Amino acid sequence: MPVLPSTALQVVTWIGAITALFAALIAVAQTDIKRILAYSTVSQLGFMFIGLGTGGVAVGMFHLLTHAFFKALLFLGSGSVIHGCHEEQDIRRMGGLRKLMPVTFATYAIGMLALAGFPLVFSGFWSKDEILHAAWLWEPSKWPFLMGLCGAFLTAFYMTRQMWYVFFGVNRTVGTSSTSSHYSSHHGEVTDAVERVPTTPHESPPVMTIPLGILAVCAIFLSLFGTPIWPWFHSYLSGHAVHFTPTIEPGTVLVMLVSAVISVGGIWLGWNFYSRRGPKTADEADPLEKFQPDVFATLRGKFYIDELYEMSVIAWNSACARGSRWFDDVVVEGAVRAVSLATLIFSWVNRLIDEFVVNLGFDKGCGRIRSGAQLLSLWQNGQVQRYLRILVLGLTIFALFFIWGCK
Amino acid sequence: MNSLPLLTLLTLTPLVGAAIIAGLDPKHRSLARGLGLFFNVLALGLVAVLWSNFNAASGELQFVERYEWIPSVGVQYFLGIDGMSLLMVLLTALIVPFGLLASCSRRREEADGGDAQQVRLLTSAATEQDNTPAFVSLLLFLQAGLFGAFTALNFIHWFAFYELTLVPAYFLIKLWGGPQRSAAANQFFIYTMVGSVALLLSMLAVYLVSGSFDLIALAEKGRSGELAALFNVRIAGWYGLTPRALSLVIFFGAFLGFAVKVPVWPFHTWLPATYAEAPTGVSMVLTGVMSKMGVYGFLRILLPIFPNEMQIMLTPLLWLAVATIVFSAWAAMQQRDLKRIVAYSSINHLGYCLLGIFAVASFTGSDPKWTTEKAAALNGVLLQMFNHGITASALFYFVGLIEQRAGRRGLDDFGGLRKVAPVFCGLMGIAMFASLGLPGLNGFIGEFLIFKGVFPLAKWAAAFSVIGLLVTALFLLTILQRVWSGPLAEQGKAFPDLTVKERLIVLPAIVLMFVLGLWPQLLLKVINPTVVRVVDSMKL
Repeated sequence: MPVLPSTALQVVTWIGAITALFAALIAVAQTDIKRILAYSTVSQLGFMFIGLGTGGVAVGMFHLLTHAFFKALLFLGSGSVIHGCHEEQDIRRMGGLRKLMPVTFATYAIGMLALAGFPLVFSGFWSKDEILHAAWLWEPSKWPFLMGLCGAFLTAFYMTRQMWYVFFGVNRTVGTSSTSSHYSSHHGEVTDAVERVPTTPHESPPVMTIPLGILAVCAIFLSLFGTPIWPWFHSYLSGHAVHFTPTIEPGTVLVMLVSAVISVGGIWLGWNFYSRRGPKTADEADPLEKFQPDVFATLRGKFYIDELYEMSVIAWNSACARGSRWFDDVVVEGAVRAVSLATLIFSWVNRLIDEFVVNLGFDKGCGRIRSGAQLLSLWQNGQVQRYLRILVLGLTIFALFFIWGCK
Repeated sequence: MNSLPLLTLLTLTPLVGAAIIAGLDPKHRSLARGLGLFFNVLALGLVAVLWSNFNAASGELQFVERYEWIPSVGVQYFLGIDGMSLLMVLLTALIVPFGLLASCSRRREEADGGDAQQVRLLTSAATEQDNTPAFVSLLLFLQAGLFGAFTALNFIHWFAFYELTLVPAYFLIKLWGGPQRSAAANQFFIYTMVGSVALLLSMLAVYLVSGSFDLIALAEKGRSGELAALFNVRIAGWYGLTPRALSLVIFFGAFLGFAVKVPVWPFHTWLPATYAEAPTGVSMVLTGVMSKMGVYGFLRILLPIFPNEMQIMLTPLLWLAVATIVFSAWAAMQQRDLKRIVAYSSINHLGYCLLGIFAVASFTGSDPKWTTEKAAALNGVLLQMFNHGITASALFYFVGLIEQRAGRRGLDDFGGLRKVAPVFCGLMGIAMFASLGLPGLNGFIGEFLIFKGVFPLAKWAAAFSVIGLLVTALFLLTILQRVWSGPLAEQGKAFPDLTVKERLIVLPAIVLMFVLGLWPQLLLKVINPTVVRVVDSMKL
């Protein structure tokens, strides 16, 4: 019996599978051209994790490499589109751009097909296929493989949706009503409050289209380093020699077939769905929304995961912050004030004791001494006669004392 | 070099400067400022001489000066520095001129301000005149106290300087502070005084049993357990306490003294009020250097003299450090005054130092593996002290500049200032990222080493402290968001960017943030031998 992969690798695989599917679902319902690509990146990172968990470093890294090129191509292409549409990012306010921006369209299509995993020609197909193949062979469970397939299908679907919205259909850039602008800003997408000027989109200058071309070439030819018949990249990372094997195992071919069918199926479904029922104006609802309003709203709301964070981590953090401030301002500061107040009260009591007990006692004592002194002072009131009288009296007492005492 | 009493000269330099400047006529502002800077440059030069002649490899005390002072009570004039004192002396020599320059730029600004709008903004700010000779003189006096405290090795001698710093700080806050300055200065002075009295009583008890105030000799006695034995013999049965309880009470007194100074939660509420009310330059020195005196006390007195007591109290101490880190970070999140935010963030940053120091006191036996971790944590503590001194004082400087320009310093008073003051925003952003510990800037390396050392020693305390790291990033980024980005508020349109002079003043701090972030070895090579010696001698 083969040894099962370590717990850590299993966790990596499961997290990858969940991420791949979860983010792909969210990407289906987004309307910001870059946001779709961003969620797509999250989803593809999930694929890389499946690859790492099930097939090892080379599998994950190869997808990372191919993805780097075609996703860079797509983001640059989206920049070209946004620039051409005068800083518009909402795909509902685009449409029909393939004639107006032919170079961007062609390169974007290559990137899209690579991301969707269109068979044989594009690098994304080979790297994703390698991941799915590794997932298929994974011992603990086949679920990551199935989830990966679903994710791949959704990837093909949402990229076709985006292609259709941006480059096909009718041009919805003109005649945008103010309500849709409102709608979009309500959802937090980047919109300027400035009045929209309906201007025709234009192709971008060569400074943007030439890099697009370079990336497009890479998006195709990078696959040459990682096909099953010549897995150069794999052996480069693992350190083993390259073997050119023209024969492919039947299992590999089967997975390749499934992967190709899934990819083409996703594109086909997306194309049929949107070319028939796609919206004619920017305000019209997405056909998926008409079809399943609640599901669509959940996907558009990203499964409300941001709201979940808002209610859990963020709320908890601010509650702790409020608690800490309250503790400082009320409890600690209160204790400090109480000590200071107690000291003041003690000092006050002390003063009272000083004034009314000690001082009064002192005053009384002083009074006694004064009256005693007054008595004594009668002896010496300044009259010579009295001094003489006392002198005589004293002499008499001394005389008597010596006479009697010396006997 | 041994013939020249360099450390005495170092303490005397600002003291002489203070005396000379105090005698100046109040009119002579620029002369006072010039003289103040001159004596600071002189002090910095002396520190440079110390640094270059310091034998970094030895880790022993150097530049020792020792004379009998009051032999009957064991008081000596005993000076000397090792790696950690040298680091603190250097910090003092760097931060005080920074604070001085920050205080003195104001008048000049107003005189130069040809723009009517700017003058109006400036005059609406606090009307303090913080470059009078008296101000400069008190600041130099404070510096002398700091130099004295960081070089003294006899308790009484050290304590005199430790307390002496309070006096200039009190008057600097009381005379040149914000609207609540009187209350803040009083609270600061009294609070710290209470801690100092407790510390003094404890050290008197220690003197009573050991007959010595010599910190080095006491550390020896503390390590060897001789002190604990003496407690059992000399003062057994006082107040009907067991020797163990008595030694803990004595430890607690000393702990309280430093806990207030650092400050440790819950003895910290004096700090935000004080830092917020103190004039900018003084806040910079308070947070940059004076708060380090508390941590330095932990390292120089508490850790070596009371290792057993610290071990007994280890768990509560560790959790106090965690509380300091986490609660101050959260409290900072709730503040609306930029100065108070930076003040709370200071408490938070020094909390990491405490965490490192307490974890070092944990009992681990003599396994060399733990020695490495403890050395990492202590090195981290020292670097954190130095780095926090630089970043926090720079942040206070920036907040002071904001207040000086706008007459306000509320978190919600601004917005979008990046558009009108990009250089200001960029430099303050660097300081904030250094403060939150971005790798490559100086704040990172200290915190990293502390956590590297503390995590194996006290994993739960370390784990909970990480919340503090996270929340620190949150509130500092909130400043960046509220003040610098977003839509530009109407009243912010006249907000001037940093002048050339202001850029030059803050430039050394910014350069140090990068240099120490990328090349921490510069400091580590000086402190590490000392740290290793401390940890080695602490083998418990």
